[in-house]
Amino acid sequence: MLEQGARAAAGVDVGTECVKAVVAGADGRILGRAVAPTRGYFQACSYEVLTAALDDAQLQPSDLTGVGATGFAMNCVRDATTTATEACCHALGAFHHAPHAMTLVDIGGRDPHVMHVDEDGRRVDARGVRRCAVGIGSFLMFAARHLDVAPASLQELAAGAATPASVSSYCSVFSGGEVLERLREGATREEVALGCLHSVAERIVEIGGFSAPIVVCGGVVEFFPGVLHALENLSGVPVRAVPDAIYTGALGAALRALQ
Amino acid sequence: MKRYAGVDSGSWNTKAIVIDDDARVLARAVVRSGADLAAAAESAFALALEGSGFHRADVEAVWATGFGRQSVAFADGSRTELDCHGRGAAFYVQGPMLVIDIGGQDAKVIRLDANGQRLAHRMNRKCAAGTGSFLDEIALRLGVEIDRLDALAAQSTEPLELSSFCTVFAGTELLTLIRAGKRPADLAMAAYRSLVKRVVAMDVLQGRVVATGGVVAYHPTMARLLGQEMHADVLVPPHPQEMGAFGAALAAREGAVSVGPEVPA
Amino acid sequence: MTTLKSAATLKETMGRYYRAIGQAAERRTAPVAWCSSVGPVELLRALGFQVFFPENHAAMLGTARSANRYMPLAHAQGYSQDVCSYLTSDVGAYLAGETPLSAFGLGGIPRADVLVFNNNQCRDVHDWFEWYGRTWNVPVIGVRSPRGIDRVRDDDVDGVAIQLERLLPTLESVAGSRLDAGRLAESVRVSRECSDLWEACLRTATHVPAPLTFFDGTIHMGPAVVLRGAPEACDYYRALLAELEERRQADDAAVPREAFRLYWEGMPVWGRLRALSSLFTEFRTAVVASTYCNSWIFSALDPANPLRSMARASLELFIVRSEEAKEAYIERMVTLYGADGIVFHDCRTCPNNSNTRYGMPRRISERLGIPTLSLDGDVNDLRCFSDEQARTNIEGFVEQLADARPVGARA
Repeated sequence: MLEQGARAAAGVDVGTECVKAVVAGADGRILGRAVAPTRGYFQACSYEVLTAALDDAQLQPSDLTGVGATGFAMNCVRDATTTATEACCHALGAFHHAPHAMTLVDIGGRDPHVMHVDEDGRRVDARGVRRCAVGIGSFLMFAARHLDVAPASLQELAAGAATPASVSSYCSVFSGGEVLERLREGATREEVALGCLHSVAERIVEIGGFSAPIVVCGGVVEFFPGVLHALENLSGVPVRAVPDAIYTGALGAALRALQ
Repeated sequence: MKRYAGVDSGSWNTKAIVIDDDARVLARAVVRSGADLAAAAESAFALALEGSGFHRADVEAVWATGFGRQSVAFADGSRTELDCHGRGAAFYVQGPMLVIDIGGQDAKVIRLDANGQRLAHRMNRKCAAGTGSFLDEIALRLGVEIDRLDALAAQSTEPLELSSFCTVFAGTELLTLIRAGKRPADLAMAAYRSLVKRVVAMDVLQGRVVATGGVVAYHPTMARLLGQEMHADVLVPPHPQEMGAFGAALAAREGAVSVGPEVPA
Repeated sequence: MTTLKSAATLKETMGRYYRAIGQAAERRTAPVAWCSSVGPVELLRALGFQVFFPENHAAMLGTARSANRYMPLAHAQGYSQDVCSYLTSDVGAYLAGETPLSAFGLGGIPRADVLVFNNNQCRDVHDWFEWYGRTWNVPVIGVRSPRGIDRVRDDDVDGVAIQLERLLPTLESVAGSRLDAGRLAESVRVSRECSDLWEACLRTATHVPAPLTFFDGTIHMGPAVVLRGAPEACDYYRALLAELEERRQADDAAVPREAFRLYWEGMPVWGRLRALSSLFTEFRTAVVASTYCNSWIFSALDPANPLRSMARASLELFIVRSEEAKEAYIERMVTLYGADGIVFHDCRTCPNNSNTRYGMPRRISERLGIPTLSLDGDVNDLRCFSDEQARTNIEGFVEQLADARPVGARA
């Protein structure tokens, strides 16, 4: 239950791999959250996830001041009162946790971005990954299938390797082929799993523009912390992830709805 | 009566087949390749043997083909899948012909002359993958089992276009269409059409066309669409998924020479 | 790769070259000019320049398989991934402050006093040189060449010769000396001699079995590229030719039990020389000739007419020619070397050297009745090369050649 006069808003981030929803109070504190894989119609998925987040917060739709939507399919959120770009929402969400100028790296399912945020939380610029290298989530799913593990277990598998097998970063299709080639050549599943995380990190480092402090958000680092380590190794700059990294966009959308 | 066997170690599935001296198929098997190709080859071969009622010692020679042909430790020889799909198709169909093999990771067009000899081949460019892998992603996104995709596409009413050149872009394009509320049946059909378009771009398809590989085995719509594209019937020979393995078994039977380090004939 | 005794001399020759130019640049003992691979080096030598060939440096990065480490730095500067990977790996290495030339005692690549290009081969050498011109604030001058030439006409030669003359004021100013006609004639004479010797070396591979392959050629062509116009190159090729003649007479094959002979059209894949060489050897296939290695043959060079003959030579090159002229050349070569088939390399970042893209393989195949194979790859960017697809394609191609041969023939 909300206190008298307290405001809350929901944020829904409809991504290509997962739909995320949060319910946040006016101070930006997350009161409830939910996430589910994006399957079939975005409209149905986003409704279900929003409902689940409200349940988690033990609130009703009528308690909400507004519903912010963002993500690839933001226009599929039926009850949205406001929409904003992913870049805007990620910046808002991350700035809430890290209120300072930063390089913000959003690593989601499709299309990683590197953006610069100034000391007021404003986005200065944003650059995406090269078009051939999109599809981070589907690449990791593909890798998981060929490594005979559930996607959620890929990180655990990778943690068992000392060195990564070489998996390139040029193109998601090529990388998929290389996963198979490395296995055939005798690399262990662990090494290939780690190699996949490195491939993802490489694609992001290639975007360029890395300057400290670097903050990372998005679902990939939540499920695959190995990507974070790989990013640090490759860029040579310390990298930290925001808490609730996968919900950053949704939080930002909720904050927008509260404005 | 002698027996021969072929194992096709593909990047997605491993296929095995046992034939007799008249090239009659005695048994065949398909297992997921997974991460351990050598083990999958053993499994597939064992399964096929079981089905045939014979033991390994009863098999005169077993040859390997496919992506992982070097990993099939027990093989007596190997030929590329370019050879084997061509050889297998030529057993059932009189040339000249084009053999289109659409597998999990790549697609090939193999040109054979009237005697079944290979004249040329084209494998899909690294970039323009038109393969089973793409259909797998579509099925995942639509939330359907892969073996239900063909039946789903049969219910299509609205022609949709997936115009992207490459699997990576097509993936994004598909999501855009889902977002726009397009029907899964129409999306499934659009995916098939997109695959066919990429195959058609690989070579000039004219004359007799024979389709092999796992994709046409599980997605009969593909062969039909290819035929429509060419304004002619596309022939799907028996056991299209195991055609490579069949070709390898034929090679074993013909005692064909392995290219590479000398192998006793 | 074939073990040639000359390999030791090659190493010494190239080592001396790198050390000399390194010292000249570091101690400022001689002016340093950068030159594009088929640019007007004879002019530069005659003026006393030490000449550096960045394409040779880029090939070293490719061979060392370090190119992929450096390219992203150039990409970050705004050079597309689709653009010449020689350019991006070299500029990237410069930005990283690293070079394989450090193995020869150089602190960095030799700094140019002037950059001289001829865009007869491609536009990228010009863009590449402009980067260094801006970075070092030194002049970038060159020839803007006609391309797609059918027959080399006098007016084309005139145009290029005039451009060569117009280079002189800047070159003389940087060199601090006037061009001596005698020195230019001598430079052209030596360059021609090198060309003739290199050609003779390559022609030994017309013998069955071939004493050297394309892969050997890509290594041994070093002096023809960087020491053209200098006597050291001629010394080297005299020795190499003698060795190859010996091997030819002894039927000493580069590929044991040579069964098939192929022609390679397009650039090498530098990071996969050894791997590809071994692969073809495994399949008893000798890649006996290539367009690439033959591109350092300048038969038009004539010391009696230095500038005009340099101009003509720069226009006669394969890369500058029309489709028809290229096809006629390949046909001549395939016949001369007795090739059973042609491998075309579609080099992702080098369109001018990728002759797969406008239907040539099919036309040639039909006309000559021999099969062709197209391989996807790149000079330096190994992400564009699939070991797996290359192996399957090559193996499949050789199987096809074997099947087409009548039983018992050349087993």
